[in-house]
Amino acid sequence: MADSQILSMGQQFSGLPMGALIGGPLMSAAQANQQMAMTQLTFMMTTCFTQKDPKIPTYDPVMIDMTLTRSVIQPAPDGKGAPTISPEITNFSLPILTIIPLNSLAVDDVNIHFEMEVKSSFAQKNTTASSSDTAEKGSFSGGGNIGPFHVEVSGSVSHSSKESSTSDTTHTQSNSAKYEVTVHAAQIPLPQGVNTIIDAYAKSVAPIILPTGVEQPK
Amino acid sequence: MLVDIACPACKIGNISLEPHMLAQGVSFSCSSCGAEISVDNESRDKLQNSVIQYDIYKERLTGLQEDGNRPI
Repeated sequence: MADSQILSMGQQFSGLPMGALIGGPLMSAAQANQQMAMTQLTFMMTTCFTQKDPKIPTYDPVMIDMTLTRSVIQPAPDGKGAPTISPEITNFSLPILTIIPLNSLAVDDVNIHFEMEVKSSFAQKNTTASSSDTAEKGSFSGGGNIGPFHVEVSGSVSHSSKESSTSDTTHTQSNSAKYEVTVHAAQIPLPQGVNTIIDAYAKSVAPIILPTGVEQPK
Repeated sequence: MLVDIACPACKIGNISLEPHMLAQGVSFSCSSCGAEISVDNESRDKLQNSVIQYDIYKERLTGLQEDGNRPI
């Protein structure tokens, strides 16, 4: 009898928008990832590259001029004196992309814990009390003379009955569930393509020795 | 935030650069051959501007990270 009064848990859960509960946080994480990627892309394209002509989608890397100083041991001109150490200065250009420590930030972990809290309680208290009380009472008396004797007879009858009964029934039921979403954003390795570009730029730093008689390309 | 680049002089060692300090004119040397690398005076402003933009970018990313990690 109590079960019919308590909310059906299955019915409660069937009405839940599970798609929104689970898909919502995932969509938010995806949007956050997109926002972070766009932030990185915007920074990279505006800071590390320049676009000479807005009509032409060609980006040139922003270069900075660097100076490399290394010591060179030069023997004495006559071959007899002590060698001298003199600094040799090399100027070269370096893409700024290789100097700025780019890193990727992304949502790398999304935990969705689903617990639903539905509290349903039902209390029933039945109290039945009955009592009956009966009482009967009777008496009689009589007398007479029998010969020289006088006889008297008397009597009484009584009856009493009392009955009582009590019944209590209590029923309580409770169910609970909770909904919790945990999102964690952390750094992830740079995309392979960006690393390839940086590597290519880094390798281009090394000086190229031109053969004799070849003009430097402009 | 150190950035390692291969030494252009010896091609063996690495030169660890710190962009903020590099933009201020500090030199960094190769761990193998001792060659020093620095930014030309003409390029300092360009690098300084990039470093400032980088700091803004990092701050924005940190904000996004904090927003993402905030309990719903």
